Amino acid sequence: MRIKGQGSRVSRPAGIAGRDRQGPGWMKLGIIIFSALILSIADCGLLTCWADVFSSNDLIKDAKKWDGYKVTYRGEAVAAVMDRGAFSWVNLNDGDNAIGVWCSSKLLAKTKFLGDYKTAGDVLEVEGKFHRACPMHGGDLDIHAYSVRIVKSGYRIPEEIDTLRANVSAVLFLLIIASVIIFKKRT
Amino acid sequence: MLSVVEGDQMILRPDLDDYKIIGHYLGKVVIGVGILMLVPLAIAFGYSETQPAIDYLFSMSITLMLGYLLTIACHTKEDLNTMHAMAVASLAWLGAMFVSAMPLYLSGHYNSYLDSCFESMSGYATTGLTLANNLDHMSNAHNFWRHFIMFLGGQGIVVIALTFLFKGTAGAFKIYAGEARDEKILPNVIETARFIWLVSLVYLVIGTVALAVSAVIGGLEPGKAMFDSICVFMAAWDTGGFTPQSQNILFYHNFSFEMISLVIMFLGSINFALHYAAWTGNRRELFRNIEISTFSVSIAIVLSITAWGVAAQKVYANGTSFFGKTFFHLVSAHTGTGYSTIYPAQFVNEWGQLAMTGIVFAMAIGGSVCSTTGAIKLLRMGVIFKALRQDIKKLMIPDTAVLVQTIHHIKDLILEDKHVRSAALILLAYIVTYSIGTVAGMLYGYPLSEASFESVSATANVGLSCGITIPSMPNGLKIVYILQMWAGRLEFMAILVLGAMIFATFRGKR
Repeated sequence: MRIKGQGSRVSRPAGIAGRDRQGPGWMKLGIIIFSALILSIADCGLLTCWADVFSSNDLIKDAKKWDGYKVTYRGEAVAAVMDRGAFSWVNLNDGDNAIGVWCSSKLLAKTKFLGDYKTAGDVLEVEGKFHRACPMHGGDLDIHAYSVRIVKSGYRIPEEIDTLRANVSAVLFLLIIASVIIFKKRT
Repeated sequence: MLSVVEGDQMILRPDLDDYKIIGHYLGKVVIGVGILMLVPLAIAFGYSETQPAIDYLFSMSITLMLGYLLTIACHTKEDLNTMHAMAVASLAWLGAMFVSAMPLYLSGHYNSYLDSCFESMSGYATTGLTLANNLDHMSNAHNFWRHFIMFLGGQGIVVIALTFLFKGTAGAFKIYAGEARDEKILPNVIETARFIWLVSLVYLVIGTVALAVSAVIGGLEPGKAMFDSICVFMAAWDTGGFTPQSQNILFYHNFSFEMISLVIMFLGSINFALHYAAWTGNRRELFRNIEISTFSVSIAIVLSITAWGVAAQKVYANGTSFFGKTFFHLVSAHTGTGYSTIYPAQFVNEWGQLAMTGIVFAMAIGGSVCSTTGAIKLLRMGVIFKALRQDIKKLMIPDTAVLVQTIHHIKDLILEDKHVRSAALILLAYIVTYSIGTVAGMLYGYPLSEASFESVSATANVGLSCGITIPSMPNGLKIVYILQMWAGRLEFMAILVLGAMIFATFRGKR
């Protein structure tokens, strides 16, 4: 399952507006108040609501740039939820790479499908703090998520059987067994 | 009367019987690979994976058919001489690569047959570079096969086929040397091969249990923990580097799992003769052996270079993360394993050029001879260093004095020119091969640092990647890396003999 990222626009704090040398004093005050408001909104994570989803390639390629920022990341939960008590690990694969997400175990309680050969895992969208080298987890690149939601439920993948290949295999196998027996008898 | 004959004049043209002997034994090895496909077939049945089971039945049938056709067409009762053994060793690895790639290709996880051949050679050569797509959805049978061929390659596929599946002949065991396993730990090769298997199986049990316990404590359910632990053990012990998940060892987010795999990597890179010494109570050997002392010096130097480079980038906030990441990757590189807990792009973007250089040096040197590692190897580095020291000393002592340089490798040996020549030739061959791959990478437009990193990783059978090895990489570069992995694993001699045989076919004397 491939879920492509939507680009690299994010919920990073807005920069301070450039100084307006020509403008009157109240305008400067307005800019400062507006900037402070934007910063506070960004800091409490509300801005992520408007943000696009990061791709794993964006995060890995520009890990230094996004280190410590709040990000939204979406991917298929693969293989296992690794329960470590109050918190758990889940790896989310967006089609290019999988990234480890560390979050409260309660947030993953509804995750039922985990991607493997027979299963398409639940697609989770997480919001959290991105670390290029997490000091809490031995320097791993990870996301500490504070919100997790299932955007697409997983399902069992029906196995497609190639009947032609199955029949050819059976014939070939019988043929080889017969050949070996004949050859052994002759020698 | 002695006569002097030029080398070229002594090359005899191989006749039909020579080719029949080679074809016959090559066929036996191919049959051996076909029989070994029963293992993933059983895994497929065990996990109720129907389509993979069909893939293995199909591949096994084709492989057995090819093998039997070859043995029948080249039927002979002649035994192998050294030239035949070398040719069989080198051709068998190509043959095994080709047939083992079949089920991988049928899995649908590879873009082309070339990609699955790359994966197969990477497995047999215990490299660990991968071109698999969507690895997280690969069936257990196919995933097990990737790791199993790594285990077989590490132990030596030709030796396995001939010791376990067929009655070995005296000549057949000359192939043992052709697979770069030229040391006799015990008086004869059969006993040596059996000892290697005994050591490997004992560690397989201990290592798998240790990894599985760690994985279960880390939150994996027992079935998945057991499957992954067997796979990770096989790849770590044989210093391969494949893992069942796309994130490599990072998937587990488990420090103890990383440390256990680090110990297994280290044990896998140690000479089996040293394992024998330790098993028989001769623990002093561990402190006196030239390979261990060379390893200590080498790891101290490359760790300093890498740590300096990583520290300069200020990536890690605390000492534990910094030392953990640096040391893990350095041991992974030095032992030729290629396990990683960072993404390939992070080597380039986060670790920087100096740290990458340290890793390249570690990969280029490698582990011990008579282990499962590739690269130049510690014994040769130690011998060359001792020879250099001896030459410098000679310049500083009176002309009339005689200087004797000894080395300790299982027993005390006087360092002779033949030892130095042999080590220097292999060193030269590796440097040339590293360079060829680097130039090839640069011709395809990659920067020097990245091209050299990937080239050394392929030749030294390491498997760390800085991002070049991906399914969309140029086909020409895939072929170059396949040849590098093949040559690096067999340590050139068998391939050079095969080349000489082909040359003699056209230019040799009747």
